Amino acid sequence: MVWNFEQLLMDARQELEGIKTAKALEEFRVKYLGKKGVIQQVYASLAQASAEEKPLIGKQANIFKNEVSGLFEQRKKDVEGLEKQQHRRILDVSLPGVSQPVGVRHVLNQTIDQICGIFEGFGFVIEEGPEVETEFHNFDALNIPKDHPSRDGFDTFYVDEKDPDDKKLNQLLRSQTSPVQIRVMKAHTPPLAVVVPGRVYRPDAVDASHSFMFHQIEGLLVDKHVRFSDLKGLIEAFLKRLFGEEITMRFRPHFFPFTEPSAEVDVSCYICKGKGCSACKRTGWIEVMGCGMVHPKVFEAAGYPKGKYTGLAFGLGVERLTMLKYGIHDIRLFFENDLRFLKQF
Amino acid sequence: MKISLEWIKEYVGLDITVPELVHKLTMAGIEAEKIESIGKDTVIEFEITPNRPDCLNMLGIAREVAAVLKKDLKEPALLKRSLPKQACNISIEAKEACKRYIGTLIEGVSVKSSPDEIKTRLQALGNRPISNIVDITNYCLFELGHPLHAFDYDKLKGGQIIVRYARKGEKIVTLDGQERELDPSVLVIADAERPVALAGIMGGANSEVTPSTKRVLLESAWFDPVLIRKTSRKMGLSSDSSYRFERGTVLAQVQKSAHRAVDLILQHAGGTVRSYKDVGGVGKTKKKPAIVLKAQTVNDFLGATISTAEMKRILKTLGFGVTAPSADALRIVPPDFRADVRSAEDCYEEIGRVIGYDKLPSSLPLVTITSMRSNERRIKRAAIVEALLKQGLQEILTYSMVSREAHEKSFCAQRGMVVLNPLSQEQELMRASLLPSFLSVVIENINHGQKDLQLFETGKAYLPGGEKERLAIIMTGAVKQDWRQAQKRTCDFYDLKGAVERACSALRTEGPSFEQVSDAKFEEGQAASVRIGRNEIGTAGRLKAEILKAWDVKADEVFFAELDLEALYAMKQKPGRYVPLAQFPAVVRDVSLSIVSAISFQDIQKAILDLNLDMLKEIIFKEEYLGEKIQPGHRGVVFTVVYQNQQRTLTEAEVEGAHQKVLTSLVQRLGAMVR
Repeated sequence: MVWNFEQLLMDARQELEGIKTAKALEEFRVKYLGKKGVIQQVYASLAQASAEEKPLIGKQANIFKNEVSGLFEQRKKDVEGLEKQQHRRILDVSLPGVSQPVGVRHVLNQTIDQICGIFEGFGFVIEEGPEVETEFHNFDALNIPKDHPSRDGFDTFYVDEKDPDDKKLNQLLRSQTSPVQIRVMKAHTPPLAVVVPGRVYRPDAVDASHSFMFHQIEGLLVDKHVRFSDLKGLIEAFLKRLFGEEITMRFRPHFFPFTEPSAEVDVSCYICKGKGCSACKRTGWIEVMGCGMVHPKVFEAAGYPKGKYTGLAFGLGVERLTMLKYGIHDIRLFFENDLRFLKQF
Repeated sequence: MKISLEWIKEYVGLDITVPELVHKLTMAGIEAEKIESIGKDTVIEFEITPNRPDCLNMLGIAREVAAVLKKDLKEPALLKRSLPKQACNISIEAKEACKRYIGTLIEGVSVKSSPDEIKTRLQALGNRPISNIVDITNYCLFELGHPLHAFDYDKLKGGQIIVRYARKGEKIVTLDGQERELDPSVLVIADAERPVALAGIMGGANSEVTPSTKRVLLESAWFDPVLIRKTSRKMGLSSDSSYRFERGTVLAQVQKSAHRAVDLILQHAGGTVRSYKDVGGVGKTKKKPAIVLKAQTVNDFLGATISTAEMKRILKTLGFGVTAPSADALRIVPPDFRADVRSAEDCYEEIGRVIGYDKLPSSLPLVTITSMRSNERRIKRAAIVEALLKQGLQEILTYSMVSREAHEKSFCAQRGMVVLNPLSQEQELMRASLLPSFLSVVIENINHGQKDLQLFETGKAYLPGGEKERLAIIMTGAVKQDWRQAQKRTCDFYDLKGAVERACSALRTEGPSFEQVSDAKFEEGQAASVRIGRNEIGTAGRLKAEILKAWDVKADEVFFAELDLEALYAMKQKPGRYVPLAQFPAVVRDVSLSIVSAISFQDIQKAILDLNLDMLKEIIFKEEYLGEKIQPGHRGVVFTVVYQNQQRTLTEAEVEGAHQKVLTSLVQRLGAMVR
């Protein structure tokens, strides 16, 4: 049998050029390179060829096979590329990304965490105490006189739970976090540095700026030589970390029964930068916390030896600070727990 | 408390601007709240702290001004007069409540309008001028801070004054025209027959000074602050007078004020002093103990460097008696109007505030590092909160009090503490469970169109005997959807269970187990008790339809869990030990069973675990099938058993042998059918 290899190669080349799909490509492979394909037929025909022709045809057949295989592989690459191009999917990259849902820490707890975190950085530890308290811890030990108006039912909630130390007395809902100062001092010997966050209660009629339940953070540092200047420095460092390096602040003398001297601390209004606006009642200052040097009577109630220690204490309202920080106008929003509110922080 | 700057100038020279003055006073603890111009005058309203009743008058503020401006104080001079020999008829029955009462009877007064200088000053302070006699009592109150009262002597039955408690059934019409019923807790000034004034609060109409009054009895007295406060609150009546009495007045000022008022009455209304009596004023008032200050101690405490001379100047201007027993020590006697100064620390504050806290140095404290740890609960709670937030649950924060109604319709087993003085129904009870608080939040959100809720809070329940920390979780509506998923899925018990497990695993406790339980608030058959080991730490389940109906919750299914955090905190934590990674492949076998519905997956696990197969690594639940292909009373359960050996690759035959034991056990022990 005589093979026109030149013609065959030309046909194959032509055929390949027309192929655009993987399917047609496969058909070509079967036709030429398959088990019953042209090339196999060529090799099969060698059996009938004469001894002289055999090497020649064999050589030509090999060349033909290599050529076709080469062309096929080449074309295969082209077709794959072509197919990829046709099937490429164009993503709408503007569709929303998908993430796992996560919850948001309640904004008041965020403030508490932030403030406690600052003091932990200063070397303070965090303590807690009971909300249902005795008159001793909430008042007596804090140098609040027996007949002080804050002990009235108008200013403090009482519950039907008897005082474990004096069964004649009812316990109360602490009106401040300060009783924890006494508990901490009774349990530990100075030096000590603690911050105490927690819920407190006062029978205030509820409106946009009053709530019968709110949160305070209390701080206490007791050691052998704590000075009033240390109180100023500590509060300044804290408020700068909280509000930023650029704020200014001032200490105003004030009165608290459990500290002497006592001060209230104002920061320059962050809205008007001290020029005076409605947020700061045109004063340029916003009151943010109270503080002072621990009163000797408080040390006495804690059972510390007279004159051995000095200490500083401070307290701040969490709701108030959070409202200032985010411009929240109504304290009730914190406790309504509307998701539209909670998810903003 | 308002002051008139023009008035103040009578006692102290002012050479700075109003804003500068206001700033200096504020920095000295006399905080200005409002400044307004009235005619030529400037009126400043101060917020006076309760420890400083001495500042509730012009002279008191002038004293502060003198101290911060380093000026001298000129006190109003009292005229020299000899007292009449005749005594008024005054007696005190309630001696504890009224420690001193000075009565002065002035005859022949002419009651008319006050001179302009008095009227203008009173008007500047917002006080309406009435007549010279009444205005002078008010003038003295604002000037010296001690309240006074004037009676029309001819209206006092029997010409008599008795300080006593009211009798049951007595009434009085006060000067504001209100008739008030009295009881024996109320201190009154009475004549021979009836009350003529509410002591320290307001006079009675029956003894009012009018234009026809000829004889005036002037009262200057000391009343118990607590009593005045309580009566004022009870009567719902407060006045410039009660405001000062309840903050505390000074016994020694009783006479001075009476003297000053009589001077002014004689000057502006004429008349002569007929009789006088000072009841309770005989004994000398106790001399205050001296305080000895060491200048170095003051400076050590304040962290400042203030000279002894400056300390002395400040205390002297404030009216303190100061002597210097040695070069660096001061012996101090506070004036009678400064009951708030009792200790050395009180003096530190006086010195510090007059210098101005802004002028005192600031330093950074040394915080001594100790081994004291932060509260353990707080650390554990933070771990739980973080785990739940990551799980997608939203943290909420709810009130600790609930109404009785809310408590009752939440089917709570126990009642919380009772609030003895609630302001409203919402504060009647301390909550015994977080459920009522949570249902309020669910309603609030559903009403705003937010139906898909997964919320939690770590808060307290306040049970008789003590407050207990709890973790509550509530879930309702669809789980968060992804736009790629077409099917909405509503949350169910297993979402709740997953959250509870997360909370426990955050503390690395032994995994909690869940067992069917009957609970008043949960649907029967859809409630579980949550246990760690043998301890029940809480319950979880689907809230009863009755509760949802009682609360009008517009949701079909609401799932709720409440755990006792105190119990959870107390659980042993698993040691965090490293487990070497497996070197040899695991072999898995799927099992599909049909089994009696009442048999739990936990029973199935137990039947396998009891075989004690060394190579058993894990049993992973795959699917529960409740379709028609399963016979009634049965359900389909699909799970995978994982076999692995740490030392070598398992052979096919070994696994097959073990797996056959598993299947046999399930069939024989539980009557399962392998599908």
